[in-house]
Amino acid sequence: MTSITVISVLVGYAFILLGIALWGSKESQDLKGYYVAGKRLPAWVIAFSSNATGESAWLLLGLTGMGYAIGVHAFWVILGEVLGIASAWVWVARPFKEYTDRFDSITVPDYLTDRFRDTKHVFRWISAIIILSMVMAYTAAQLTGSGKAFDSFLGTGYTAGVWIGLIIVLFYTTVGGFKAVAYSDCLQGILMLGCLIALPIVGIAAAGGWSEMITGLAAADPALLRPMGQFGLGAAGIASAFGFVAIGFAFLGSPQLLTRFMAARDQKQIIDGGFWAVLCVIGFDVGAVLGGMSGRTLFPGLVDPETILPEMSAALFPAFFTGIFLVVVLAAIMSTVDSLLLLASSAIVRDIVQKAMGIRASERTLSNLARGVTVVIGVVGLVVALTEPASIFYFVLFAWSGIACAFTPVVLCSLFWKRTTKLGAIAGMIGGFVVTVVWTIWFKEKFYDLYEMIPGFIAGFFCTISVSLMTDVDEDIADEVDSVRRAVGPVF
Amino acid sequence: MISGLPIDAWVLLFCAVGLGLGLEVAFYRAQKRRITSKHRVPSQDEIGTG
Repeated sequence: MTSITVISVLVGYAFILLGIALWGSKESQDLKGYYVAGKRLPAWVIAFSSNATGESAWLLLGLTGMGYAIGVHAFWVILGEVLGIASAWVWVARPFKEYTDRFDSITVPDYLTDRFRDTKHVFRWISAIIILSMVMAYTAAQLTGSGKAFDSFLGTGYTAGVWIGLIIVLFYTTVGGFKAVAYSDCLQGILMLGCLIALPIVGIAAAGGWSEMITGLAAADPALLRPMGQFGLGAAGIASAFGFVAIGFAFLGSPQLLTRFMAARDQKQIIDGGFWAVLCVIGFDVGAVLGGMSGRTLFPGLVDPETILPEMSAALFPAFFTGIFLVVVLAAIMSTVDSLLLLASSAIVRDIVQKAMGIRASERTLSNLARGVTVVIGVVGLVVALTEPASIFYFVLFAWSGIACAFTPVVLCSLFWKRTTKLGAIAGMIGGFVVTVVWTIWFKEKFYDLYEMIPGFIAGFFCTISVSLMTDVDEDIADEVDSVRRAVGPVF
Repeated sequence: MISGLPIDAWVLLFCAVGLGLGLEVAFYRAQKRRITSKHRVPSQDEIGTG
């Protein structure tokens, strides 16, 4: 009976996604429609969809698990994410939108190519390699999450869960393009927010109230109530806290998030959208951490802390809401996978096939090719997820960092520093990405597990700035930075 | 201790939520003020009678 209720909720949700896909399909007949929904999205859609894309299953399973495992120490993640998202909307979104409208860019490599007058398409090739390698890891990790979620909620088995998740997401992404992706992400973001507000309220009430929850946590482990957790104010504690804050850096320049700014209808949508985005991420993160903390008092001794959300939803909510929670976990997974698939597809079709290789084809043919590539990338992710079902969040945080360190320092320098040169930007992309990988493989364990985002960011900025200072900048490009600055006006 | 939680934990939570929210609210208000002043109809005194 319970399973039938849960399955009914799931089927209902799949039909809603189907409807959104068919509705969005009219506007996905050319590349601009397929990849940025014709640049006509309103504020609330870009706000919720960018948050849903940025957060993934990590928010629902990983961050609730962190609240469960380390308590108050996870507040550092909230600090990083809220500050990262607010900074992105306040400082990055408007100049980026202005530039990409002037250039008529529909991908981030498009923007970098035009911004640095890159006639040899070096940015497109480097971007495609980085995006493809990271998106494969990221997509495989999310599909792994889908397999685990279906199996733990419905007992479908891991393999079936991976297949079901991929088929649903491939359908609405290929049929509806970016418009369907953005609106379904928005719906998914609202569902995630609702559940993450309900989870701590119900959890704390079930624990006997706030004071009882805190007493229970103190009795379980006093370190759960300390901001520096079990580490204290030593090097390990500071490295851990900085690493958590650094998770939010990626919101400043990851291509899958910048695409939302590009797709906004106009600058006014960005002013309004930022407000919704910040409120939304506060709800997401505070809800997830407090939900996990309440779960620690209710279900002590879980072998895997990342299963606290399914445990709580099954034990504390009626079957219908358990179905909603399954939908929400899937929503978090799908809202990330759909955007990643489009990102990788755009890197191949728009940046390599259409621009770098200069292959002439009708918009219709290219948008059909884009759909085909989307399916192929999804299938490769599926194969990886079925053969290497490793820890979800190790890969998520690694890929999140790899993409962010390759693009964010370069995008920030290109927007705000006139002296940035093409060679500097290329060095920054390569340096940021390579250091992320090298740090993760060889150095991370030796340096208190310091999150690779920090050395990757430092390397990205260092390479961009130092190489730019050694090379000449084009006067026209420098003047363009001033022109964009004047067009968007002051921040405050 | 406030409601059982150490004060430094409350400070961290308020900073975590407040810094980003404060930044966004300041930006939103400044931009709205700018848009309003751009579209404001000048008063008779500002136009002058001459």
